[in-house]
Amino acid sequence: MPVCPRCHSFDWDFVPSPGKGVLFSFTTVHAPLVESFDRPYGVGIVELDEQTRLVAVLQDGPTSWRIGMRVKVDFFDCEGGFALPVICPEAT
Amino acid sequence: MTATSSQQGYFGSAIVGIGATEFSKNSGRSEWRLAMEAVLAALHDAGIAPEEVDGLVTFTLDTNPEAFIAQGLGVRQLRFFSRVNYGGGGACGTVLQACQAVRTGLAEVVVCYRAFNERSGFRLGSGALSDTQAPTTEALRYSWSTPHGLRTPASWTALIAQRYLHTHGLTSAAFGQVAVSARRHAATNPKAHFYQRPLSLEDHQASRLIAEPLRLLDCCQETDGAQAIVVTSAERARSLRKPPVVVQGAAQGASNQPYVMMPFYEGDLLRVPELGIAARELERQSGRSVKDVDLAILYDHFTPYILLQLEELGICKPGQAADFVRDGGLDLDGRMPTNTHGGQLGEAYLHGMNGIAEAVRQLRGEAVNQVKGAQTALVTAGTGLPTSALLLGVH
Repeated sequence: MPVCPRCHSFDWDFVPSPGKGVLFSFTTVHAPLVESFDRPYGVGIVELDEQTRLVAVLQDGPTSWRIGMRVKVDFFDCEGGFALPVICPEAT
Repeated sequence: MTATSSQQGYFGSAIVGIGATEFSKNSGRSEWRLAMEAVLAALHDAGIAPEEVDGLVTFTLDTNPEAFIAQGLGVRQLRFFSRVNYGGGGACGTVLQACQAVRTGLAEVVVCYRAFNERSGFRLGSGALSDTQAPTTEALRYSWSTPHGLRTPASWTALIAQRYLHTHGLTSAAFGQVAVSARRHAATNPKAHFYQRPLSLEDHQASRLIAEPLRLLDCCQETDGAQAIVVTSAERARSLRKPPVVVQGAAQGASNQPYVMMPFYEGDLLRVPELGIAARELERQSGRSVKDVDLAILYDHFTPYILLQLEELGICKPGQAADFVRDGGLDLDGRMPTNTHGGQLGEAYLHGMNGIAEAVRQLRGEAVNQVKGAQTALVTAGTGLPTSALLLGVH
């Protein structure tokens, strides 16, 4: 969004965040599987402690995901020189 | 403008013709031909000569430009043409556009249509949305979801469905009951893909996972076909072939979360506020409650949205829609007979336009699953994105 819907300012800035929050919702996608997502994978919405919500993949592994559990956002490098966020359990 | 006489509806407009192709998985012909077949069938149903059409309305997603349809009809003068955005959210909006044109005199006979080879051609649910797109405003919004694997409407809906089950302490059987109801109606509708193929809750629970908690049978079909709807003045409607269906109200609504089917960033995801806005507008136009109808056609792209709509409309209290469905609330003799043709889960996926046609058949008394004495119907369009709705009546 280019503008704040409340004060209509166009001045945006980056603010560091510890990346901690709660899992707001999640799914495991089984179909359709496509390039880069070629086996069932998890995706979640994290509500950061700053109240911002973010969509990201769930960390691969045996985690038993629950809505409301504490999570943190990490980053991983992927092809093309990009880094994408990944949701992990906060305890790890 | 205040509500005009109840004989005329808010716009002085009526639906006087409906027409469709067969609904299939592989039509074997062009989308343009499908559109022409449906539009001509609807005009025949109305008893209006094709060259009399002077207005056409479709979806922004439709591949058949209005002027191409006019050419095929051999119209004398095309005076009004328009499109509505937001996929299935636009279904009832096409009729709203038509009613406005008729009400203001911009056109006298307006045909709304939707035609596609959505199964054998481009599949909207395929997850192919994000490739090689220019950085337009809409495409950039997808950059918050597709890189993370949220590529399909089913995956977007899954995140909302999961919140619903979690909040109300339910299992996916709550969604399964919606599919069972739709398929029960489809089973006795010869035009439905799932004619004579009802579903048990066990069938639903055994269907394969698409995006948890959604299973295959929570998703609408993919369909090749076309549907058209003819709108003209309520006054002229009285002397046409079929009993007129008066548009008592026609409305659009959008929330401040206009991400298409991804309103993830505010609120509890348990509401479809865009429908609430449209419903209040229908009530303003008609002077009656949207709950005070004899049947409802609720847009069923995915089963959870039926529960959310029942609650948004106030037909059920929050969290109680699943019990309402399980207890037969959507049946022909239930408290709110719903999707009597089988919906898009059971009949066909025509972006909601086939649901408008079903409401018309019900109010004419010519539906295969007839609600006895039906006088009024509510029709909704796709929710989870900017939407639209209609209130229709026999007068």
